[in-house]
Amino acid sequence: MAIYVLRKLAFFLGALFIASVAIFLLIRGAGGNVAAVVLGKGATPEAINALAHTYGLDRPMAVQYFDWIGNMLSGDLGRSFRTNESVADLVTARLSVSIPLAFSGLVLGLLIAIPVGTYAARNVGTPSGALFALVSQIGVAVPVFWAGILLSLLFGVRLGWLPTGGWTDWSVSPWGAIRSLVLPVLSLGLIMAAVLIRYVRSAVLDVMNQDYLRTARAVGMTRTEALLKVGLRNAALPLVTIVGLQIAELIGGTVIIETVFSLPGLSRMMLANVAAREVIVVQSTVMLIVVFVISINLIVDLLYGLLDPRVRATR
Amino acid sequence: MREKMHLITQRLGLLTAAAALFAGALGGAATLAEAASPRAAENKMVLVARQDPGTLDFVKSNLTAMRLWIPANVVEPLVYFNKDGSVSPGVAESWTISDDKKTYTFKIREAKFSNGAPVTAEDVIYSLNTMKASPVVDYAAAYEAVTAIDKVDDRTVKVTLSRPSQNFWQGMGAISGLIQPEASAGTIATNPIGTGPYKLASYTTNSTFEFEANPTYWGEAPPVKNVTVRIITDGTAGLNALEAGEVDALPVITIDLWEQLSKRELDKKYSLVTYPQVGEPTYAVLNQKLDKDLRETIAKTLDRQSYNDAFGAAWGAENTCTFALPNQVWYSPESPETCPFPYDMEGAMAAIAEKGYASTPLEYASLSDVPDLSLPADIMVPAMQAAGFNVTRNAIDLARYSQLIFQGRPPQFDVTIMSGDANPVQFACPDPSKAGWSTYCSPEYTKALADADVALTQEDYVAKMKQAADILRKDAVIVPLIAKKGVGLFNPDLKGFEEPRVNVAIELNKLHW
Amino acid sequence: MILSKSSHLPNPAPLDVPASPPARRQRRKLPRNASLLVGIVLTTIFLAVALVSFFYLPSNPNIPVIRNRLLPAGTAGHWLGTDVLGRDIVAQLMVGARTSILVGAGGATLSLILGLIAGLAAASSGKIADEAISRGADILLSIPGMVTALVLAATMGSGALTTILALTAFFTPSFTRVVRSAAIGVLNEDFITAARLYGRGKIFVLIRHVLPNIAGVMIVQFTLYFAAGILTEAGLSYLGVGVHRPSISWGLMLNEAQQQVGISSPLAIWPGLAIVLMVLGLNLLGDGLRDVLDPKLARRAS
Repeated sequence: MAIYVLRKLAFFLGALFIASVAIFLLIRGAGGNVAAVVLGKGATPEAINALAHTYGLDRPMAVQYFDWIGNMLSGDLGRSFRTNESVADLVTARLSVSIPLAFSGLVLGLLIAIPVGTYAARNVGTPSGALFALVSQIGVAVPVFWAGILLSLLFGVRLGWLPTGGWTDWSVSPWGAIRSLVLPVLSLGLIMAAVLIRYVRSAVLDVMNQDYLRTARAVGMTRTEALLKVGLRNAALPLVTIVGLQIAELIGGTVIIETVFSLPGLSRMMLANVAAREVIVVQSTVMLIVVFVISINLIVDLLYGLLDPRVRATR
Repeated sequence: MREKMHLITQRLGLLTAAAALFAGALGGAATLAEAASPRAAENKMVLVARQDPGTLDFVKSNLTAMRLWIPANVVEPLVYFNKDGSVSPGVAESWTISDDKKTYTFKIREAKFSNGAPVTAEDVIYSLNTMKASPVVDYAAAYEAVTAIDKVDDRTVKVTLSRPSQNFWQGMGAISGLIQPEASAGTIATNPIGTGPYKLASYTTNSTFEFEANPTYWGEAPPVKNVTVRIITDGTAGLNALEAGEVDALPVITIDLWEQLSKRELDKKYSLVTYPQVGEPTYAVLNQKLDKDLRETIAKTLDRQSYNDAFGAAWGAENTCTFALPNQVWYSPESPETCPFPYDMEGAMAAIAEKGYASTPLEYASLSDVPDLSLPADIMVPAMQAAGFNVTRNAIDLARYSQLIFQGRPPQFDVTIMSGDANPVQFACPDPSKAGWSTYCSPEYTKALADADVALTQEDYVAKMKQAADILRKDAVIVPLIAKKGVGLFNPDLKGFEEPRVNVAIELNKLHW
Repeated sequence: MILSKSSHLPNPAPLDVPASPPARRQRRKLPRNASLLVGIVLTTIFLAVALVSFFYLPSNPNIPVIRNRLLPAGTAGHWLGTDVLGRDIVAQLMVGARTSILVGAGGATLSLILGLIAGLAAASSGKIADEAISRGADILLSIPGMVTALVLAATMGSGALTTILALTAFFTPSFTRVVRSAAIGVLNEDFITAARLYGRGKIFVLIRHVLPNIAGVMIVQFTLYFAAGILTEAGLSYLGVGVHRPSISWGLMLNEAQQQVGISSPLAIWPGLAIVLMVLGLNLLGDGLRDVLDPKLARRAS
């Protein structure tokens, strides 16, 4: 067991290192310079070079890389060149949008997917089961931004019940913040539900064929009881893995929903900073996300290893 | 029995009274709701900004997003140039200009910055010198003729020029003349300090600015004490917020929203103001290295009305061949006299066939993340191709555009389209090797601008500027298409809007409920 | 899909798993290959439309005709109306089909090739090579797909090629995993051991024996990634980092339509509908194929 954990940790650190180099090289490879973006149209090359110098962008690449890594390891994520805000502040502010969005979307998706997927599994092969399966297939095919645009058209423009976009901060008005989140969470949740239904259905189908379910029936539980009490618990494990992985993807991947509804979230901030070539902000933010994702993967792997000894043996 | 009746009557009476009160309250509430926004009672207002400026450093940034709010409200220039041509005192309470227009003496008023520090001559000298060294060419250009900025005494600063300069004097009423305290220069990017009627209470990027009345302001206190500027990047969301009563004004509404605005009849429910200062000309830029006849032929493929129609709101933009905005004296709308190369598709096609222009590959650089510019590009490129030109469209993002187009020497494009400042000086090139982003260089044009700058009278100045504008028109390098007006929507009870005096700054202290 | 790489997760059961477990009551069953049929039909329609677009278009999708702007659906000559610059919607949808297919198939194909090489190498080489490749794939998967796409677009300029590369970067790691586990399954079979004992080289074994046996899984994954690629490309174009005019993409049409949301809603509906139908067709095709080719193979790959 200890070796298993150590190996996982070693991989974890190695992965972080490689990812950091990859991110650094990738963003630096992009043409353009934040100094040019700041100074805009009329700037002279001298002014741009001077500004780039004050930002420290003309130092050798290796120096800049180790400087950045060194700072990150000691907790300093760096600052935006244009506003001098610390990356930590920038990220924290954005998380207050992205986390509620991602989390609520996932929860809504699960709330819909679990009952629907279970029903579809129970009724496999019949028209009603197939209908749900079809609906889920369609849902997976719907681009999330289209869902967002349509919802915003209906509830925002036609009915006027909810804002079509924009964000009211929690500190300004919690109710306003919730209102700003309703349509985005709905769009996200519906699509997530479509994606998850298939996995729930698959997991429940697997479980339905197992012996312990028959045992439960034999002991006297009704079909439903057996499914709910015994079946779902066993179906939960793979589902938890999938949910864990989805969380990881969501944090960095909500940029489209954030764009549709003009929410100042993490992904959109990254988009804006990539566009402005704010290299430090992008590097540090991406590293944070990568750390988060790899950590989740690590935890899931460890949990699996813990819960299922067979996994440890074959790896 | 009578008692019972009495009781019933009493009850009825009470009920009626209660109903009447309730109705009255409802009715009253209804009237209140129809009246001013809830913020009127609290003496606050909420305005909408479309873009986040990123930095509030007005020395280094020339983003409109910053210029709309910080000058005039938080930081003041030395003087104010009014619409009627008169000049009002700003940080300078009085001034004298020598007859040869080469010496300016400013008497600094006894005032305090919003942080309590007194305004000193040193602060003024620091501010002017900082602007003189600004990396933004527009700001530093005002100081081109300045040879010395000296302290005469604690309350007097003298500026000496090598030659008369209209640009300098105008600059003292614009961003080039903004006065800041030397001691607080370090935090200018997040918290600029000035002598203006407001001070910046807070700035949250991508979210809000909060302004509150400056307690140490030297002039009349602003009627609205607390101002919030909300940054709503999505135009439609901004209009929705106005309609929902969540905000009180959208002072700057860009062209992509005008059609929506009139379709939703917002111009009937709210006060629509149009003002030229925030307007922008949209113009094509043709590489000067291209043959002059070729450039003129390209100009003939441009149907200005289609650019106007594309946005569905022809009331907000005017076709023009002059690089200027309606508030500049040398401006004139499209007319046979002022358009040397009017739209003539047949003529263009004939010229292309005759001179074999189809064999010259042309590269069109298109800024992909700005809808104001990609829509005109969608019109321009097919039009040029229909005429017979061999054009390829190169869509690039802002960072790469900055590098290739703004900084590219020699120019890395043949044709591009731009929208921005109507400042004619940006096309001057006193030193050909340092020509600006368009790399347009014409000695006649530069000379005309220089002559205008040195002009001693307003009439001379205007005549020379008109001459410069004419040279630009005839050269077919900078080809204006439409002059977009600045458009704003205000809650009908929020009155007092006046055209900006300091560049494009919305003067918040003029607004009142 | 939220620009997600859910495809790298174990594949869920195909949608019309046929026979019910013996203990259950009999219920009416659907035709086995319903999803395959629908999938084939939809996919063929779109392929046909894209092909036809090279020979015939109702009108030019790129030339503005300002006086025709925002015509409603059902206008003569413009069955679905025109956009803000008067360009025909049907023509744009047809050309958009080309882009979706090109980019989606391009990304899926490139990932297939790279994934095959890496996956087969991992399955058949020593433990260290296997670890290295697998861990490498894991690392690539941990960088959010969006970020890779954005940075690639910033580095190389946005466009069809960049989008294809971004898609390749997303899908290759998951493809590698799928190939690897399928190949490991095959490599454990007896006939492989027999072939090796007989003296066949490793490469020969891989190509001659393993490849044909994992082909089914590959085809299924290909169609699923093709579908995911179309969704992703639409998303990237919507954000402005995909293709640009004069290339047209359904995502780009949605981007342009968003400007008109307060004015003309139908513009936002047609491109989205096209995306849904095409992706649905491909997904159903993939699921149906998986069902037909060999249900056991599908299990092995998960």
